[in-house]
Amino acid sequence: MTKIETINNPFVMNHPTSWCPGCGNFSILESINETLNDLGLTPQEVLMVSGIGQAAKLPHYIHAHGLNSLHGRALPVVMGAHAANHNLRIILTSGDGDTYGEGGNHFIHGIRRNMDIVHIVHDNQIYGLTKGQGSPTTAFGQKTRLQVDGMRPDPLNPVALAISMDCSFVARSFSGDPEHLKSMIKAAMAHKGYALIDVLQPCISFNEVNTFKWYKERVYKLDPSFDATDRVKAFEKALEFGDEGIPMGILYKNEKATFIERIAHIDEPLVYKKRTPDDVQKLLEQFD
Amino acid sequence: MKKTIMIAGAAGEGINTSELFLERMLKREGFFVLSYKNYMSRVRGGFNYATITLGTEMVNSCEDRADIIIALNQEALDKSPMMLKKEGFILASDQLKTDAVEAHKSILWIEQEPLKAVSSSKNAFSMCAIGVVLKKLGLEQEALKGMTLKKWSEEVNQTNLAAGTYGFSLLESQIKTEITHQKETILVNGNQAVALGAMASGLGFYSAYPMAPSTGIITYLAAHEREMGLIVEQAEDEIAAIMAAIGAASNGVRAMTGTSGGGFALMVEALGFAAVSEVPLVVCNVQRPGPATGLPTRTEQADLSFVVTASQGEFARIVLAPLTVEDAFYTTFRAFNLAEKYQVPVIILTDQLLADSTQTISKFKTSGLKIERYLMEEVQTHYKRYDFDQTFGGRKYPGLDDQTLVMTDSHVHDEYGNETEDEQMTIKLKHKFIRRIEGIKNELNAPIFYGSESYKTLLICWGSTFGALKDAVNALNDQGESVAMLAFSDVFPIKEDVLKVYLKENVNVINVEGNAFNQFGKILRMETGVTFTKSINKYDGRPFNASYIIEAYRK
Repeated sequence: MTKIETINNPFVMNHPTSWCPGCGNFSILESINETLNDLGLTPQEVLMVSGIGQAAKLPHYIHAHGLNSLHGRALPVVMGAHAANHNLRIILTSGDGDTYGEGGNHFIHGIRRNMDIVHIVHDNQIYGLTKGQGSPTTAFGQKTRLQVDGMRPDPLNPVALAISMDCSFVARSFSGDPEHLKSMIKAAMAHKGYALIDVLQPCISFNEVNTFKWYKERVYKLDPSFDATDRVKAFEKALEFGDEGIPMGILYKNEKATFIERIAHIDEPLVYKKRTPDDVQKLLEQFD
Repeated sequence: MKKTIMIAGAAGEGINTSELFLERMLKREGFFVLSYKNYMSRVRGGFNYATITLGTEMVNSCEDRADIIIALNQEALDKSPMMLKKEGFILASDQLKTDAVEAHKSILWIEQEPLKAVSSSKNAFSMCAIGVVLKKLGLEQEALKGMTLKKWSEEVNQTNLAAGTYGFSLLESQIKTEITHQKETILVNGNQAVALGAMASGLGFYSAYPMAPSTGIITYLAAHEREMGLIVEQAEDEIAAIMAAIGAASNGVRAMTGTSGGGFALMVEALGFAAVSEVPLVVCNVQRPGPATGLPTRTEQADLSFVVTASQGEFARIVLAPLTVEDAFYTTFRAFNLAEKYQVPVIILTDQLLADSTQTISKFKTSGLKIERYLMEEVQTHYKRYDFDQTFGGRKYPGLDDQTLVMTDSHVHDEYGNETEDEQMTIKLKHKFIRRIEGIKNELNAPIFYGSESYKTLLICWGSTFGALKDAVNALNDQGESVAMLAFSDVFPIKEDVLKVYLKENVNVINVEGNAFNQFGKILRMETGVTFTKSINKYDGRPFNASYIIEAYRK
């Protein structure tokens, strides 16, 4: 990103962050800023939502509407925000612990609802803000500050889980490849429905295994001929993770009716509906 | 005139339908009714009963004994004599006749042979019993027309009606009751009243997870979702339910969630989030006995201590406990205005008694109600979402205008919503909450005084205990006592001088509440220093009734 772009981009805030120098979060923040500007959106059209964690501080660093909620609870808070005003473009940014750990149940049910939002998960396979414990995506056996003998549970595969649930858009990217990341955010923004982007990023402070180099040596872009509408193939690809390579790109796509489209009587956002106490009079007649 | 009809049997035997028919027909005939469901947490079987107390004027509380009991099975018949008034009678099928119960002279046996000849309905007995009850109460045969349901086939409705007509012909004697036909009354239950109050107040979004006895709220709202232009969402759990309501409320839509104690326990962290992020939120907790699973379908007023302190840290909140079904409508309406004015969570505390009480009441008046939103209309280039000098009002949400940006945050934050760890801002945030609590205290309603002006005893209650206590106060004063009562619907926060004008020398103060620990009494004592002579408590999962209070008063 050049200086000139910074000046002309209304989303850029230049607010001091509490991220570690060199953190992958910076690249994700810049990619979001640039994509939003490229799409010609205004800050007033965008609502940035997060849970709690290092990644979840991101809404404070973007000049747009923000909603920094509770740990794990960003998806349900988004449900209400989206129900209230589906004209707002909602981007949810949160970490792997927030989304897949504390928020695991909401993740599953969020996929089922298919809200028209973009969900960017900063997946560094470790807990950052609480200083180095294993996350749901930390590899089995990996040693952490807490799991000194190695992780005992198996890791969660978020993209495979999402595809198994017929999530309408599932992508993977890497914070070390901002061009790819931007193209994924752009595709997710263009997609109608719930779009999950699992963004691999190194945690320079607490994850000594999944480093920039580790990811760089393993990630590869999906072949342009890859058919993202084939759910079985997508699932197969989603299982690829580790030394055999990590596929990046849109793994799966199935456009279907969104949360709002499934509520037949909702057209104009709820927030603009005028209501008066007399509205209930017609209901009261049913109690005679 | 006050009569109580009880329909007792197992879940699935038609108690609810019989209750619905009876209360509907009685209401149409001009009676006031108050019915209450006493049921077990199961889908089929068990021992359940519904009581319908009727009168020629407003019925405040259920009676614990019945004038007529419709016993649907053996267990109900066996238990009936204990629940019967001296002059009452029981209706039972002659197939339940045994040597042991035959002698009971208060049983009116309904012979199954002739009944089967006129009706093939599987509910022939209960429908026939309804006919008997209507005749006994002096209603005209016309009234039986109320014994039909649109969702049932014409054939079913006809066979039921035949059984009812047969029952109507069984008795000769009638009670002649002079009824002044009441205009503008409705028959509604507590959960519906809460839902209607919320919609009158402009509710746009409701999310909840099913939990007895609060499920009636979401059921009623969902049934009218399309008509009223709402979004009603069944959440995956109570945490999602409250967070979704906060998400909607923070984006300008009046939003609410409802649950019972166990679900409220899951919502606790989010309650504090609503408070610190200054999002107007309304939560209805329909209390049932706890702890944990407790008694899922019973009643208690034992969540008060919990809800007034729920969530970590210190913040302003409002707790309102509707006194009656009618009050549940107006209090819920008011809850939204208060939540939006002070940008605090407002908890409506009802209970299974109110939720499952269906009452004839005056039709809700909406003409005097006004939705007040306390929004800031002016465009702000740097909007202080959390202006430390503001006590109420000044709220904007995304999309209210096309320029202002709004930051909603769960941390300690600066006035713009940026998270901060600054000492001064931390203090200023506290001071804002303290100012709000003071503002709220001055805004909340004073308790309702009722009874003898020259009272020697003052009974204090809150929430749904109002009805039974009012009847007890009337009865005690009729019996020559000199008592009065204070009923609190606005239970938290409490003003230090709230009791000042009521406490007098030589006046005994008795605390009456539906729990064992005197939770409201303790709040009152803490805030006002009042001392109670004694307390009257009920904590068996069943609601208060007037005779219980009178007996306890005299002890």
